[in-house]
Amino acid sequence: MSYRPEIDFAIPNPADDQSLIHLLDRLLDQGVVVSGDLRISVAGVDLLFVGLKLLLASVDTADRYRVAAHSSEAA
Amino acid sequence: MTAGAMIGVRAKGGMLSAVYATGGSAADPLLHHRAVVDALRQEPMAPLRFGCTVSPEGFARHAHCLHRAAQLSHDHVEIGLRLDRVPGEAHTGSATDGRSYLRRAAARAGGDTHFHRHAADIEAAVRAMAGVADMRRLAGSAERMSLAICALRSRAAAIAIAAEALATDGVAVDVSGPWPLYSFSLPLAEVRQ
Repeated sequence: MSYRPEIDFAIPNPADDQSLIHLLDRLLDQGVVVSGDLRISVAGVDLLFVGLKLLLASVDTADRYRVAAHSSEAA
Repeated sequence: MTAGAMIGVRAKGGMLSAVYATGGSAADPLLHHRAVVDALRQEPMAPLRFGCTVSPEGFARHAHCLHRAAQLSHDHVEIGLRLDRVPGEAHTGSATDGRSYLRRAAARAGGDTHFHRHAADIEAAVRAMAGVADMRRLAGSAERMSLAICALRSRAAAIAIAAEALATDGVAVDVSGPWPLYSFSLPLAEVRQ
């Protein structure tokens, strides 16, 4: 059991895979889209601009998305 | 996400307002979680999942759910319950003849039914425990059921121990927490089956 009754909230140790997986189960369950911009510049001059859109999801959720996408393609 | 990401929603005087992370980047799920825990130590709020923001329309559409989660966060925590199917010997044999293959396939199909029946029984037993205010199913698969329990903090340790004791032949139970009420702040996605 990784339940810790003696603390107010569990804060996983990055080296502890199991508790980290439990946390990510809750934080990423439905999948989130992270948007952001990346600028690479030298001496204040922008050389490269990249727009990011990154989908993060738990493995189970990603699998459901994959199945749902296949079903809608087949329909 | 950038610094100052939305990490929760507070409810004061009947009004909802966003809580933002103070300082540091919240681009990392673990940092986001730490920011949520720090904020909850200051005041009750409906905690938001990583990367989740609530639009002005979202505040209106989900007002009931957000108010309830903010209220519950005074004295409730989330317990994680993961039920995993434990394959029996009949599923894992390695004989390569056709009859053995068919026997394994039949055992696997029977095991799926057996697992889901027992997992549903465990879910119902936990739901009936004193101090359980709500329960939700998170992502799952044929071999896993992941549940979130909204439990009264003063009863949470007893619920965790009792839930773990419900493990049966073919179903392993792993209990985690206490977590902020991440799974109760907003309705679950429509993709949920």
